[in-house]
Amino acid sequence: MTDFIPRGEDGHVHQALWVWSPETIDDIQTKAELGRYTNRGLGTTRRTPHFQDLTFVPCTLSRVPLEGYRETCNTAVEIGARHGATPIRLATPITIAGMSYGALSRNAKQALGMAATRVGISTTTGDGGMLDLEREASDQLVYQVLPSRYGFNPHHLRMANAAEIVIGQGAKPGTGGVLLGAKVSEIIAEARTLPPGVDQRSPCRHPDFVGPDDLQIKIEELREATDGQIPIYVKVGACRVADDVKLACKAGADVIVMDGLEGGTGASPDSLMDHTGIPTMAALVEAVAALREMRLEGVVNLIISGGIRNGVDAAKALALGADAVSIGTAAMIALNCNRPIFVEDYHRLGTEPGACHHCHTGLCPVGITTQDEDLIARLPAEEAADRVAGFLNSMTQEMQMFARACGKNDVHDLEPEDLRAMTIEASAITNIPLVGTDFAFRPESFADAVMRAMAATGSTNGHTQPAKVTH
Amino acid sequence: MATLTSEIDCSQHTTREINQAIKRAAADGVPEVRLTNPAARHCLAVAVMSPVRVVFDGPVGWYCGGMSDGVEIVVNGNCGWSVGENLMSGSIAVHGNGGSSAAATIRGGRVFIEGDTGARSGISMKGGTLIVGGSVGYMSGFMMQRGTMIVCGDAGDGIGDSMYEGAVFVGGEIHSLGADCVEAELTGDDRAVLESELTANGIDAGGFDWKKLVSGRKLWNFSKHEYDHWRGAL
Repeated sequence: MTDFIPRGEDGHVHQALWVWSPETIDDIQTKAELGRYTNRGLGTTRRTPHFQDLTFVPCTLSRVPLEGYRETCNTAVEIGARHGATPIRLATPITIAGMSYGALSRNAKQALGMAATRVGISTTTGDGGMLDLEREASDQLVYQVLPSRYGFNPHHLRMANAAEIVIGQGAKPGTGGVLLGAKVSEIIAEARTLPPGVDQRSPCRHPDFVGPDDLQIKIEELREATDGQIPIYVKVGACRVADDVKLACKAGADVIVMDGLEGGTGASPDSLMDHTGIPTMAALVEAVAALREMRLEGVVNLIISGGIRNGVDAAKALALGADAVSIGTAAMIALNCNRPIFVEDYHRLGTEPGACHHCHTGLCPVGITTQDEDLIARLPAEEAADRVAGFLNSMTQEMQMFARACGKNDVHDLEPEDLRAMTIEASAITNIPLVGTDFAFRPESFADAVMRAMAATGSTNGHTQPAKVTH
Repeated sequence: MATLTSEIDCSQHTTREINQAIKRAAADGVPEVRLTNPAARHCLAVAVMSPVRVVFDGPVGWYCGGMSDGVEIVVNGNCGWSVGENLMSGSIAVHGNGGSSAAATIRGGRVFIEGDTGARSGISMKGGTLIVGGSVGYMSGFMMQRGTMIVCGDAGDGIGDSMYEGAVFVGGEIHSLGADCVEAELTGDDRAVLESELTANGIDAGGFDWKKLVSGRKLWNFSKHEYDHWRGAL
């Protein structure tokens, strides 16, 4: 049987319309029915310049690799010691990103904490405050200070190992969170001091400060509240990256979490996820350059997040200058997100395993993004924690594998020289040479390359002069 | 139990030293700490978690009493932004004017400002009571979730915008109501609350023409049939 091919009356094959594609038609008709923009979970649908567009160039004759099973390769890193606080000690340079109790079920939050503890890393609270189960499960817990302050409790802050002021997130910078009424159960409503069932729209600005000068005072307040004992992170959705990094540094941040366009969310207007922000890889390059310019590289730690899928992406991020990566969506997927079980429930949502982004509905078939007790029971915390820990270990192994192959005995020694760009775009963004060339496609470096070529050949126009022929 | 009043000259100490001294005094059961020369310094008496009376003789900066639980603070002077931010319980009385975001996101306790306050006073309140003897700036009571806000003077534009729950009482002129903020009938219980809260702070509740503002609840859940309510809110 052949696929249906639409044809006109005269029999010629209809060309697909780019502007009025089936997806565009569906989008318009859905919005016409809803009377509002559409929401969904997870992240962007658009292809972005990504770590995928870089490749490692491990050791050959010119470099000596390390033996995978015999020679050690350090992964540990300390985060947040800039102002003398007790740093977060990551056994491997990964953190679990802030995801709210409310967007996630209690079992999911508990499992993430347990997995983080087993692997020796930190996890993060979210909008809605600190869940007791999460605190008990997590050896190192970062407490978020969000614009909504839902569930914010200074006693919890003082129990935390770090505080993270959230200015924005990569999936929807400049806007607040959304938790649709279906997920605002009695318990969640009480935790957030809201009426049950309300469509909760978090504010985008903090209630008690506005700009970067104010942020400096807010950081001081948090330090006073915690006796200066814990690091203060500032999380920013990637937009004007260099400016934001510099302002956060000046305000006194110990750690900057830069969340790129590919970052995830429990619910957001999909137009925001696809049309705001700077891709993670590009944001990382800008952030590192800004820290370097301020001579604060390695002093203010940089955690990069947004679309980190595995240890390979993490290794590339470290090579570009990140101190650690933060994962959210990948951790959820390790929990069981989009696994082909309870398939009939995916179908009820109008989706399939592997393509589900219906976190906002509160009807997550695998018990992760739901507050429904029957669905939550599908995610036993112990088993889920095993899966996440397994995934985190695989990420560590991958980072070590690439580091050793590049001759490094510490994953943080990976560097841009270990990489080549697979696309002109990635080369232009990262200033890493394009494969098959010895120059990057940044305007300044490209110009340098042309000048070098001209100087080498004696050409005045960049072309090689033909050899002189003598008779 | 200790009975001495502890005295601290702020000009001789860092903010950390001052706050540590307040917390130490509170832990030791000292009933009152008196601080001179605060000189509008930021972040004083932050996160004091024990019942102690803290008196500032002079103006304080931002976040005075922020994140505290059970403290009693008196400021004999003006205060900066976000006084009593996220207060859990206890009381803060400012015998002067306040800045913007006074009592932002408090969850309990009572904040009293004798004079005026700036924009966004009582923003995102989650409980407790804010009493302003004078007037409040624009967008005060924004996204209020619970609690009570009493304004004896005038309210700037957009009062009570996008409130979820709670009540705002205004004794003076209201410049404009915020999105989904509506006037409700003043009940006998409301008058009793006003009487009780204001008398405690030396104000006669009978001298005002009180208006009660609450959430119209049109923004609780989206409805395409009530789009006009959402036009300004989304």
